[in-house]
Order: sequence, then structure tokens, then C-alpha cells
Amino acid sequence: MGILDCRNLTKKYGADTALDNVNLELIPGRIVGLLGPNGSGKTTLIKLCMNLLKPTSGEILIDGMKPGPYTKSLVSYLPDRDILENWMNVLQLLDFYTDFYQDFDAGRAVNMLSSLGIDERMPLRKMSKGTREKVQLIMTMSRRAKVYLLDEPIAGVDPAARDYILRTIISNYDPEAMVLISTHLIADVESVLDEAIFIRQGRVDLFDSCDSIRERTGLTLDEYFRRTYHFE
Amino acid sequence: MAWTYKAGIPIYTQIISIIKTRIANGTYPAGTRLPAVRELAVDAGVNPNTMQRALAELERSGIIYSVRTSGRFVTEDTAMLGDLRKSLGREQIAALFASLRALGMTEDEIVAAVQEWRRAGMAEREAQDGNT
Amino acid sequence: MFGKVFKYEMKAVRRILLPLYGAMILVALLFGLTTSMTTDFSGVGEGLPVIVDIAEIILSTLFFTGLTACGVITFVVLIRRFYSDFLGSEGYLQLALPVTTNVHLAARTLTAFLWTLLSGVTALLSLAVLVFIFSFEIQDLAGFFRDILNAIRSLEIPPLSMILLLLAGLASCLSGIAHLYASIAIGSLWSGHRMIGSVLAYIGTGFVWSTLDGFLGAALDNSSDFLPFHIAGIPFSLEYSVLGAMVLLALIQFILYYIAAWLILDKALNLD
Repeated sequence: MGILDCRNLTKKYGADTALDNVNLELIPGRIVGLLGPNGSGKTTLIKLCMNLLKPTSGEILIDGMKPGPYTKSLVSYLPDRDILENWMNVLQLLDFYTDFYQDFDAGRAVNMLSSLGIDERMPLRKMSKGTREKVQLIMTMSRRAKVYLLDEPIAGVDPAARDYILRTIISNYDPEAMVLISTHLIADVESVLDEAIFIRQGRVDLFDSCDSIRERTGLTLDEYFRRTYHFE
Repeated sequence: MAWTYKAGIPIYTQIISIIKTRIANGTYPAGTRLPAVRELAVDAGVNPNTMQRALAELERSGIIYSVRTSGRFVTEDTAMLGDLRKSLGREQIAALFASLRALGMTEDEIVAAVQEWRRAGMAEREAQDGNT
Repeated sequence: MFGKVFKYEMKAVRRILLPLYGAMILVALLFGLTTSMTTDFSGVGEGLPVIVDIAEIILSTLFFTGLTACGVITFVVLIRRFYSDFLGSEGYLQLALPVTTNVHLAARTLTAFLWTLLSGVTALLSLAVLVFIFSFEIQDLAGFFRDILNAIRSLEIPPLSMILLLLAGLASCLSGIAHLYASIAIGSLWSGHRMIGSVLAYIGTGFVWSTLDGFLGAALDNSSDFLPFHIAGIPFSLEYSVLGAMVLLALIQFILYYIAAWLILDKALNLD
């Protein structure tokens, strides 16, 4: 049993199957890529972890438990959208996270914020979208969680910010935590990944260590992806 | 990210080569302490597990050694370092020969071209010295 | 955890509503002042500059639209906290918190309840300030309050009835809020049509209750003391038993709507 388990996990919206009988076991200490084209079910899987969606059948377990308040205290989630309470400024946001999450490391967050030159007193709604995204990332990565779910953390972000995000993910590495990065921009993240899950149309095609895939195919993950899914 | 990776070869293997080169060219001088795994990983843009694997391999070969609670150090064994430079040099020469052969040169032509290149370089330097 | 969620709900709401209510009272104050200045009690009004008249007209508009605006804005703000800041984009932040569905629901219900009450108090206060200042000419503060108390006493409402009436009003407020929340929760089940779904759910559930209330009212329609008002479907009367029944019915409605909202949010929520 891993820190994140999917057992025959299926999610249907009426006739539309978003996830089809997914079976996965993810263990701590790994940085795992959830790789697939848009609409392949990546976000659905992550939302199921967070109890934002309910499974149609099968189950999803975090540290052996169904998603709920306890598992949410173990999981740090970065959605692919703007979610912050925009009336707050950064200081208030820090208080918010400290209040609700025991594993939140405010010191780490403050360091990262100041290294990016972000003014703590500025209200979030006055920041540019890019800055808000960075704030969101910093908050997420400042928790010492057991599971990190990053949904498309580098899409729509400039190359410098992309670099910063990946460096933050690496330097945050915790051998007791599992990081799941969902993305369709594979070339940028592949050197950071231990393992890769290739998902298409709700089905997991492949789950293996990156080095095995590279040795077996003689390709980078990005090249392998393009060749396998080039009609998507 | 400063380091780029090719297809087909596991990343940790490529990291081993890069670190060996840096040791040979003095970026990580003999006897000095290597940066921490995490720092190297960030620098290299790779997963710390991957970096760890590369370092473990390097330790096995003896080029680096670890001291508990102090970190990892480059060996001071001058013989080993000399061998390292030689083997890296051989790899470069092999690569050079391979690409020049692909241009249609024979091995003798390659050796002659290298010697000619060296002569021309020395002449240029002498000319410069003469002007200053 | 409830305390924390509640704290942030209050923070998010009060930054809009507190200044609004403060402004309302201020408008009432100024309106009262200009009105009392321009109303000729003792011949003083003759020599005042035109600007005071203009100010009075502007302030009167502000006052009356302000009262409506307070109500509407309060409603909008509280609905938004539930509809978009909980089941919309910000829901991703809220629903990721390690907190049970009940805590979310209870904190928001309590916040909405308190602010609805406060909006009512603000309205009353604004009117009171207006009346007080307007009658300032009379210069008899004690007499003013005495007059109000006498007016209330003259209605001859027994104290227990007044308490029950108050409770019925509060219970109605709670059930109204829960009704809205339950409707929004039901509406969120219709993916892609959340807004319409919520409106339809609101009308639908309201209709069901009205029908039930109607039957109840008809059943109770034998007694003579009834006035043509209804709270929770029971005809208005000052009898203790009737008032007690009103309170009870409103509370039952509240509980049923609350449970419905909770069940949907906990068991059936599919965000976006």
C-alpha cells in the first residue's frame, strides 16, 4: 500500500468516461509525472484525490484512507487555476495557511517570497496573474505535506518562472513525501521525474521509472510521448 | 538549467560524465567538498534521487568519497585523477575520430590534420608575440 | 476548526458590509440634520443658503436608495460567499482545507445569520437616527424615548408574545438562509447550469413548503383571533400556542434545508 492508491478507479459523467479502471500505487520519496494530452483525465484524477469529485466506482485512498478532512491535512494541492481569496494580502494569506495547516512552514514561504521580491502587504487582487501564480506555488510548496498534487504548474508560465518552479520543486524534495506533477509539457519536467504515468482517454497506458523507459525506448520521455500520442 | 540531457542514455549516466569532466577540469578541485545533493540536483535540474544514484556510482568508482556528516569529497589520489583525465581525453579523441571519419577522412588524414592545426596555432602565437 | 473558518468568513464579509452600514448611518444622520434645518419649526429656516436645500434633496435620495441598497448588497455578498467563493473557483482553496462539510456549512450559515440581523438593525438604527434628529427641535431626548415606549405599550402585546414573535422572526431568518444554501447546493448538481439550477431549486422547494404551509393554515383556520399575516405558513396571531407553533415550524424548515444542503455537499459534490 502506497501513500496514494487507486483501485479500479472509474469516473463517468453520464455516457462520458473520464477515468477508466485506473490502478496505481504511488510511494513516498518519488517525484512522479502524470503525463498525457489535454482531456486525458489528469485533472479528474487529482480532483478525485481532493474529494472535489466522487468516484463512480472503485476507490482512491490516501495513506490508506478515503479522501476527507484527514487526508486533506496530508495533501498540498496546487490547482491549475487562480484560487486565492483575492481580498487578502500576502501577510493575511500566510496567517490563513498557518491557521489551517499544521505543516505549513511560514518561514520557508517568507524566504521564497522575499527572494522573488514580492511585497507582503500588497493585496492579491492587485498583483499580476503571474505573480499570483507564484504566490500560490510558494504557499503550496511551503507545506511539509506527505503528498503534493501539482496540476499543470508550468503551463502558461514564462521560461524564467518555469525554471523557478522546477527548482523549487527539486529543492523542496522530501524523501517521505510524494510529488505528483500533472502536465502535458513533458520536455520541461522530465529530468525532474523519477517515475512517469502515461495516461490517455482516462486509461493508464504506462507506469514505469523514467530511466527504464529511456533505456527501453532509447528516447527521451518527450520523444516517446510525441510518437505514442501524435494524433492527440 | 545549465545541464542538458540527451535521449537514449539514462540521465544519471550523463550526470556521472558531467561531474567527472568537472572534476578533471578543476571545477571541483581535488580534495574539495562537493555541494550537497540537493544543491547539485537543483543546479542540474534533476530529481535528487537521480543525483544520488549518480553520486553513489561515482563513490563506487572511488573518484569521490563520503565522510559521515561532512559530505562528499573529491579524491586526492593524483594517480586516479590522472587516469580520469586520460580516459576522458580518450573519449574525446574517439568522438573526434568518429565525426571526422564520418566526413570521409582516413585515420592518417586525421592525424596529419591535427598536426597541421597545431603547427598553424603555434605560428599564430609566435606572430602575436613578435608584435607585442 | 469551526472558529477559524468562521473567523475568515466574517473577515471576508465585514470588509464590505461594515463600511456600508456605517455609511448608511452617516447618511441617516446627515439627512436628519439637513431636514431638520430646512423644516421651518421656529422661523429659522428662512435664512439658510440654498446649498442646504440641495443637500437635503440629495441626501433624501441617498437615504431611501441606501436602505434598499443595504438590503440588496447584503443579500448579494452573502450569496456570493456561498455560490462563488465556495462552489466556484475559490472553492478549490476552501474545499482543500482539512475541515468537515458541516463546519463549512455551519460557519457560513452563522455568518449569514449575523449579518442579516445586523442589516436589519442598521435599517432600524438609520430610521431611529433620522426620527431622533428630526425631532431634535423638540429637544426632549427622554421624552422621545418615553413616547416610543408608550406607543409600543399601547399595542397591548403581552411580553411572552413579543419574545415568541422575535424567536419566530429569527427562526424564519435561519430557515430562509438554509433555503438559499440548499437551493444553491441542489443547483450545483446540474453541471453547466448552476445558476438556473439554483433558481429553479429555490422556487421548487419554496413551492413545496408553501403548499404544505397552506394546508397547515387551512387546518388552523378555525380560531377567531387571526390576522391576515403569515409566518412559516401559520396565520398571524398573538396566542402563545400559535406563536410557539410558528417558531417550531420555522426551525423544522431550517433543519430540513440544512440537512439537504449538507447531504448534497458532502455526498454528491462534483466541483466544476
